[in-house]
Amino acid sequence: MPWRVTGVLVLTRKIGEGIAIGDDVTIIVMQIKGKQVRLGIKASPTTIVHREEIYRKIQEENRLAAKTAVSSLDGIKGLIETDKEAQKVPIKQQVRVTKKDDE
Amino acid sequence: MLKVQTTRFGEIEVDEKDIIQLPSGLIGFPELQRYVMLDHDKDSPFKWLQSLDDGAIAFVLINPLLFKPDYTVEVTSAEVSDLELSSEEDAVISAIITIPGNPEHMTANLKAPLVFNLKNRKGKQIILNNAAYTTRHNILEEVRKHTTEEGGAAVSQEMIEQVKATQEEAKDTRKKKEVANKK
Repeated sequence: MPWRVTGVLVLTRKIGEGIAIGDDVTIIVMQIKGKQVRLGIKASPTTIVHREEIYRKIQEENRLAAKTAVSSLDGIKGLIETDKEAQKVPIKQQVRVTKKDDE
Repeated sequence: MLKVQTTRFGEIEVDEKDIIQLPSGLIGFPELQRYVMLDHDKDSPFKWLQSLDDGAIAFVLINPLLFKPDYTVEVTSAEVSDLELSSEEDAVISAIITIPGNPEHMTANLKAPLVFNLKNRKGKQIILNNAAYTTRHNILEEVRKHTTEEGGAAVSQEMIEQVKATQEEAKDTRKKKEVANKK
């Protein structure tokens, strides 16, 4: 029987069992090895999926960056050359969805 | 023309055609979807991404190639379709900068850059899988690496002292103004 503790739904699953979130997301327990759980995530290609701590880190960084005052830029523009030809960052399109194990 | 009150720039007037749409907002700020790009200064590598939905929120952006010439970005097909990107030519990548108390330690978020489509003025913050890029890439360290390699002028300690002096001066002037205003 699932418990809800302060907004967190706690479920216990065995290998091979899954969790459905809405109509489009399923999380499956693939493997348990020692202290690590390997999870498979099924979702539509437009759903953004990332390790929680990375997402949290970016949220926090954005939050800090949003506080930048105009004065913080006083005098520092000269530290970075701008006279290079305005180049654009090259972008590559992923050919196939990677397994993301190397993150 | 749209008139928006902002904390940093007072009231600004924005032409509808200059509005940039971030349909997913920024990570941590999903509700803020309309922005305008403001120049910082002439000859400045920095730009301000000012929110039109919350006048207090603005971000400093920079082209990562200015300090990391080998920076590349991989986008997924979902991201390409979200932005309706039909050509690489239309894409512009920017990184959000964080400036702590000491400007020497300013960092760029190379892990989660912004991708803009010049054609439709849509943008999105994406998270890269490349482990080499972090959320806090020290900009000046990177500049030093690349300029000394090319044998050009490196960022000198003198320049940094100058910057600190400018900032101290500016701080003093502000403090004096504050004291004067309180009287």
